[in-house]
Formats: sequence, structure tokens, C-alpha cells
Amino acid sequence: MKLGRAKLILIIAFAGLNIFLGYQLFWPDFGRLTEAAVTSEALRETEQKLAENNYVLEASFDRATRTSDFVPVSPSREIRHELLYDLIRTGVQIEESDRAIYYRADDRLVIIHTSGLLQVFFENNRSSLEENPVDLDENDLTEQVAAILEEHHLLPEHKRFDYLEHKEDGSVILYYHQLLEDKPIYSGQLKVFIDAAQIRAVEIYWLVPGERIPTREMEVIPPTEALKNLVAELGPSPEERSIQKIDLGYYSGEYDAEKWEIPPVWRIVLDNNQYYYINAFTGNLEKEAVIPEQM
Amino acid sequence: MMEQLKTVLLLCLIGLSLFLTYQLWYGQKPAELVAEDVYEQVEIETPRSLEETVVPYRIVLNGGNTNYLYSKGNPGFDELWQELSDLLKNIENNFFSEDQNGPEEEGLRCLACYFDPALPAGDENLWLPGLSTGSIEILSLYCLQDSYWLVIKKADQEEKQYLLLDEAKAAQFSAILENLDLENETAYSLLTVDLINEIMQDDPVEDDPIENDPVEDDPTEENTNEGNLLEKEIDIRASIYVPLGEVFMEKFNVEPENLEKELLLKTFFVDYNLVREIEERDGSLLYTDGEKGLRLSNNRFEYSYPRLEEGQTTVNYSEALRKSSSLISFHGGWPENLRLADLSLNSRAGLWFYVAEWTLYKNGYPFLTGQPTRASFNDQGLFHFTRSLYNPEAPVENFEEELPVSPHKITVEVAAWTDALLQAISNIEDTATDVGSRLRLGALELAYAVTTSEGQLRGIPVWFVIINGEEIILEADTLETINKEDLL
Repeated sequence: MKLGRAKLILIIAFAGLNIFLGYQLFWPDFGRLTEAAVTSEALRETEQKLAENNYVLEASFDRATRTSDFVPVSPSREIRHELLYDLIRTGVQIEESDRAIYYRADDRLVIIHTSGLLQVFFENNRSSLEENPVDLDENDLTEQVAAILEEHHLLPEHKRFDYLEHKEDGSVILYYHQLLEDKPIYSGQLKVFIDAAQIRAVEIYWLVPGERIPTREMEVIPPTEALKNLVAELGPSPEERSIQKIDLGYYSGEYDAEKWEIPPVWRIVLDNNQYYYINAFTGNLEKEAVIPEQM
Repeated sequence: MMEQLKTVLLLCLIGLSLFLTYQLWYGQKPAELVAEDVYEQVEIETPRSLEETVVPYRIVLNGGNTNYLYSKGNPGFDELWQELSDLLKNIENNFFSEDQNGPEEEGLRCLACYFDPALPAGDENLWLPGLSTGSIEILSLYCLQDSYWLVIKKADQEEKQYLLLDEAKAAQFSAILENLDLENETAYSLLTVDLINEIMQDDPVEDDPIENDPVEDDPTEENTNEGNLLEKEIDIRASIYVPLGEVFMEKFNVEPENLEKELLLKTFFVDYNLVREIEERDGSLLYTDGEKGLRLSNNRFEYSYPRLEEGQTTVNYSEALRKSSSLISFHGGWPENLRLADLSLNSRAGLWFYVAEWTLYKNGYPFLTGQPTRASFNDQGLFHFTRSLYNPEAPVENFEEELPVSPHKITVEVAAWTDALLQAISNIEDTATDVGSRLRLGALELAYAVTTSEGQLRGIPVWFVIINGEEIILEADTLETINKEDLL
């Protein structure tokens, strides 16, 4: 009986000790771990601010506190190697300029820019789809496009279909973006230009992620903050605009550089056709990089 | 059963407490959270005082028929300016007059200080507190037999102002001048059209002592050059002093100043954690937080903050001088022998801003570099800054013994100013389509140019000439042209 009582006292003492240690360990961010980044009140306030400026929030988002980091990247050369091997095997004419190298084969023209951008223009029917893209649903279209790109060694790994753009002339552009551990890198992009049931051109700007520094992981601003910053940047809208999506990923402008770091961003989609990137650390709209004039 | 549960629970709690203690002691801290938590105190150089910020670009001492020049980097210059500055601070007499009875004769002028940027003087300023507020471009001392006159020329006024010094002040000036040892100094003469004509007639180019004078490469061109100079009218647009005797200067190795990258980044970006790095193909590093950009390359850096360009400027000239001192001290420091060489108020699209520019000196000669060390700022702060400074390598103890193969330093004899002027005119005539019969001479002075030779950065003595607004740089010994694009 005495042993039982002693155990009970020890249990209470250790439970108290553990509460104390846990508090010390998580303080001063203890509150943050248990709170949502976006409270109902903050959400209401944001919606009101948006409404005052003629924007309607239709997107839903995760309200938990999120952290992210910078991703070091460099232009990918992997696709280029496979493609060039294929071109050289079949015979190719090569021309060079300051900013790009041109590979002209019978059925396509490949341009490799110094920035890392790869452009392929098809000049025969080897890239035809089974049907006109307007007659295909999105899944069928992406499957058929993937098969053709695979055949031409133009399908990078870790990609996700992003969206489809219908042009006034009837042509269609498919956009894919790169993935890093399931988070989108919006700067890494694959564009497929389709016209009259045929892939006319492909543009690939793919990146190789480098080693990340765990200590640089920080809390990002909540999506409500990003929305308010975007509206402050764009100003009141004369017509009602709809905010349809808001996602966390990585994005920066293109650099003609060897290696760089990409910040986390909130990507906000307006009216299903306009894309804005708000730096998820600073809250600034990501525009062209601030690069001091060339020395 | 109950006792067994208690035992298991107790063991779990003990285990958990050990784990939490370990985590608290050795474990990783939670991710750094909000940006506001990570501001850091940055240790930087203390800004210079106003009297160290504004120093004359040249002090001319009249020693009879000749002049002696003191500039930043000359031994004794800083001490001389300090003494003069202290004296000027104590002249509280407010009887400066603008009548024309003051001395004017050049021969009576025993000292002249040329300021660029101008010296702030008058009420609420350090110097000449009795004077009406203004900025002084030239401050001269005239030493008459029985009196000393201080004559000032303000930046925005044509008329000079005169002050007859009392005996005590006159004695102090006299003492400063007497203490200067001018015996081993190079003598200079103020360049006038008469002097040019006189020397060209007495000393034609055939007597040129320079062996490798490109003017002499083509005998027909030699005559043409001499004729050209004599035929053309020269309009001297600045106070130019030319050496009267032989001048020797050093060629030496230089190295870019060594700035601590991390400290520099912290001075430009309040929160260093929000900065991302971009490695450019030429090896330069670019840092940006999306609003500001800083590019670091081997020999220089450039910073830009476009959003602040929208700001306005309300600070006065004296305050802008202080601000410029703070800026350069904060962003890289203010090395010895660096002089604030210009401070101007500019405007673009109705927005006013100051531009400050600094020049490095060695032995009284300025360094010419490819990129200036220049800051543009307004009330909102610094929005553009470029910095390109070099350290001359440590001098060899006894360099004469090392000649002619010293890898560090070689002494060369400088070509005569007449030859430099002829060569510059020849260059202008070769490149410009219509030179005209009247040449406007804006500068003719010795300097150092920073170039590269076989991968080594070098400081090379040069003649720097401005004719009709065109800048010409000639190697001081060979008079070969150095393209401005080749400057580092």
C-alpha cells in the first residue's frame, strides 16, 4: 500500500516535471504550435477588405501555421543530354549565337538558350494527337501529350499538370510545373503549344534543386496576409474579381545564372487566368529580380 | 493490476522526462519563426566628423615664384588641414567685406585651399562662424608686408569676400606657413596661356627627353602636333598647376579592398535571413530580398533599392555631408586617404536627391577607376551605391635596391606636361570630327589608373587631361593612351 502511494506521488511529480520541460522546450512559440495561423476573425477581416476593393474570395486554404525555406537551384541539363543524344544519332545541323545554340534536324528545331530554357519546334506530323484538343477531356489530353513527349525525350520527372489555356485562334497551351517533395516550384515550367491537333512547340525550363539548409526554415506569412498585400499592390478593381486559388510553393524570376535560391511564395489565381506570386517571407509581390545594373 | 499500470505509467513518465531533458539540452531548436525576431546589432565604423569629411582637394602654397601642392595622401596634408581648420573655426569676426579694395595680385597669395565639395561656413557651421551662411569653393590667404587678408570665393557668388585678419590670427597663419618644409617638394606653376606659349617657343618637342614618345613615332605628325598647339587657342577652364621640374612616380601592385561579406550584407539587409543568393556565370554573387539587390564581384560591389528612388530630399548641405559620411562608414568603412570628392544635389522627374562620390589618393595623386565609389540618397535613405576601392600593396622597404625587377613597385620618370598636352590634343584630333580652333582645357593633372597586367592589378601613373569635355588618360611615362573601358 505504501509502495502504491509512493508510485502515485512519483507519477504526479514526473507529470509536473514533464509539463514544465515541455513548456520550456516550446516556449516562446508554444502558442504558435497550438494556434491556427488564420483565425476566423482574421479571415472575416480579410474577406471584408477584399470586398471593399471588389474582390471575392472563392478559394479555400489550409489555416494552419506553415513553415518553408529557400530552395537553391541551378538550370537542369538532364533533358538536354537525352535530347541531344537522340538528335545527334539521327543527324543534325548546329548553329551558334551569343545567347543560344540551334540544332536543326529534319523534323524539328531545337534551341538551347544559355539561361537553360529549351525550345523545340516540331515540323512534321510525328507529334499529332488522336483528336482535336477541344474534343478531349483534360485527362485524355494530358495522357496523349505525355505519351508524345515521352517519345521525344521531352518529359521531365517530378512534374504536375497545372492548367490549360485556350487562345483566341483555337490553339491550346498546356502548363506543367515542377515538384519538390510535393510542393510546386512554379519557376520550373513545361509548356506545350498545341494547334490543329498537333504539338507545335514545347518549352522547358527545368531546375535542379540543391542542398537545403534546415536552419533557414522559417514561418511563412498566413495566406490572408498575402491576399491583403496583393490587393494593396493591385488597388481597387473596377469590376468584381474572383480569387480562385491560393497555394504555397516556390517561385522567382528567371536568372541567367549558375545557381540561385528560390523563396517560398503564395500563388494567387485571379479569374482563373491571372497568376500572382507573393513572397511568403516578406509579403512582397515577386516581380522581376532587383539586379543592380550590369557593371 | 492497478499497481502494474502505475509502474508502467511511472516508467513512461520517467522516460519522457529524460527525453525532454535531452531535447532541451542538446536538441534542435524549433524553426526560426517570424522575421522580426532575427534583427541583429551590426558593429560598424564610426562616421567621420565634418572636418574629416570635408577636406580641400588641393592646398597651394606660394613660395616666391613657384607653388607647392598638398593633396590627400601627401605626407603632412592631414596635419596642415587640421591646423588650418582649427584656425578657421576660431575666426568669428563678421567684418567680411565685398568691396574691391582687398588684395588681388597672384604673387601676394601665400596660401589657397580649393574645396570640392565646398566647405560649409557661416552661422550654424563649424567654420568662419561670423560669415553669412554659404559654401566656400576657394579660400585664400594674402600675405602683404604689414597685413594678412583672408579672401573667400563662395560657390554661388561671383564676388569675393575679404577679411583683414587681426594680428593674433595673422601670426598664427604665419606660424603654420613657416613650419612647412618645402625644400624637397616638387615645384608647380599655375598654367596660363602665356606660360604655354612661352614654353612651346622655348622648348620645342625636339628636346623631348622621353625616349618612347609616340609623338615622335611619325616625324610628319610631330611637326603637325607642335603646329597644332601653337595654332590653336587654348582656353584654360580650371585652376591647373603643372610641375616645373622632373617628377618621379611609382608603378605598384594593388589589390581590391578586403570587405567582410557577411558584415556587408547585414549593413544592407535589415534581416539577412530573408536574403537569397544568386551565383552569376562570371562568378559574381547577387543578393536580393525582392526589393533590394546587392552584387558583389571581385573588385567592387553595387547596391540598388529602386523603391526609395521615389523619395524626396529636404536635408540641407551640411546635413547631407554628415549623411554621406555615415553611409560610407556604414557600408564598408572609410579607409585612410579616401576623400569625399563631390556632393551634388540632383533631380530626376521632380525628385531631388544627393549624389556623393569619393576618390582614393596615394601620395597626393587621385586613383582613376572603372567604377566610381558613389552613393545616391534622399530622405528615405540610400537607393544606389557603388564601391570600388583598392589597397596599394605594402611598400618594399628599400625599393631602389629592388629596381628594376621588383614585382611590387617601380619608379618611373613622368613625361613633361607639355608632351602630355600635345599628345592629348593629338588624340582629340584623331577621334573627334570637329575639334574647332579653340580648345577648352578642363584638367591636366597626374593621377594613378587601376588596370590589369598579366592578371595582376596595377596602379599606373597617368596624365589625366580633359579637352573639350573629353577625358583622355595617358600613361605618364610613355604617353600611351589608356582606354577608359580598360580601367578597373
